[in-house]
Amino acid sequence: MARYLIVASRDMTEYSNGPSLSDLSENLRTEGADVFFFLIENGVLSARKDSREAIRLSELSGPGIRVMADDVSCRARGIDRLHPGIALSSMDELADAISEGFGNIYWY
Amino acid sequence: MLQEEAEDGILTKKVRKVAIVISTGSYMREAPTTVLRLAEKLLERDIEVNIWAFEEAVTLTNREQVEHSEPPSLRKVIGDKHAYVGKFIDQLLRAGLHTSKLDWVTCILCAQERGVEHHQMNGVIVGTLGDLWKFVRSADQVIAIPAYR
Amino acid sequence: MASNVLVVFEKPIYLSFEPVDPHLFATALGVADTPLEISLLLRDSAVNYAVRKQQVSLKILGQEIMEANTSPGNVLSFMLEHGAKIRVVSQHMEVRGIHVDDVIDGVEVIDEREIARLVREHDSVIVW
Repeated sequence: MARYLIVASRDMTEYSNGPSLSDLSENLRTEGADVFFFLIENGVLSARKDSREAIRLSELSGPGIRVMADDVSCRARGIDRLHPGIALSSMDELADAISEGFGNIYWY
Repeated sequence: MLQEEAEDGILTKKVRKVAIVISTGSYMREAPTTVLRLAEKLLERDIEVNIWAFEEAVTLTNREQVEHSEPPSLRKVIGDKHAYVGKFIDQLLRAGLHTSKLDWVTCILCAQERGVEHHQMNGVIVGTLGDLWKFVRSADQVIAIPAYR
Repeated sequence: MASNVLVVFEKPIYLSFEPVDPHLFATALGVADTPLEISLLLRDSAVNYAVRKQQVSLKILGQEIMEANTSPGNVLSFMLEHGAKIRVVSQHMEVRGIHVDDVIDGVEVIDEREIARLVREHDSVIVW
């Protein structure tokens, strides 16, 4: 099965095209792919419990789409509660996933 | 393109080479830090890493970077001095001698524009736009960090 | 001649090899070392600077890159101690899941409509 990595390094709330990442993930899943959605840098601002983008991402999370947030980025920003469906992750987990190979990597 | 390899008769895909394209300098952006973090982890996994530095990213490897003292009135809160990014790139390039290979190429046009062509640290190659596309062509995975504003 | 300055932060910068966002420490220098009255406005994603318990730390090749062991929150507290007023926009917090309880003591949570009043009341505005 094809696997795709989407990395969000920006606060998706700040950009009018931020929510389009969710659409991209959904469309890839609809076409039968697995999606790794990794939040890092200011992207983790969308992981905090009850944030607007976190609610949207948690609705996506499930079979075919895994949503993860970088631990170092979260700690730096004082994010100590993640929205359900978003898992705390690490650069090691990202490197492991990349070493297994993705069909493509889309870095936002 | 991922290479397929037979392991115990089972075809598996292996990533051997990752190309990373970065266009931002440090000190006002976290992207270079992320690239260093990721490069370290990929090298640990015996993956060759080719970094192509474009636009402001050519200043990351300026060898003239030095530690400086912080303003006295702020030392209580921000310390006496801080690390500079070039030191960590130098150490990653050296780590690449003993693990998998790290190539760091800076765009000659961008380096000339910024007056840093002759100030690149040892181990960094001043290359061309052609090198970018050679890296992309030969990589199993391409990671391009956007220079958003 | 400006005597009071509104300094606006929109985008937070973490882990950039500076001890903190250089705009933050430039502002802190103005607060601590000059006679100017400096007020901060944290809006958009920079509302995150007002959050407690920011732990900015990272090791590359086993070495800590953040030698000063500080954070934007520490620098805000430093500025509050030196008389700065710091305000954070409640609507921009809410959209990012930040509660009033999450905010550092001394930082004032304001309504977005108050930004216009702040712009009127200050002699100069710096938007970083």
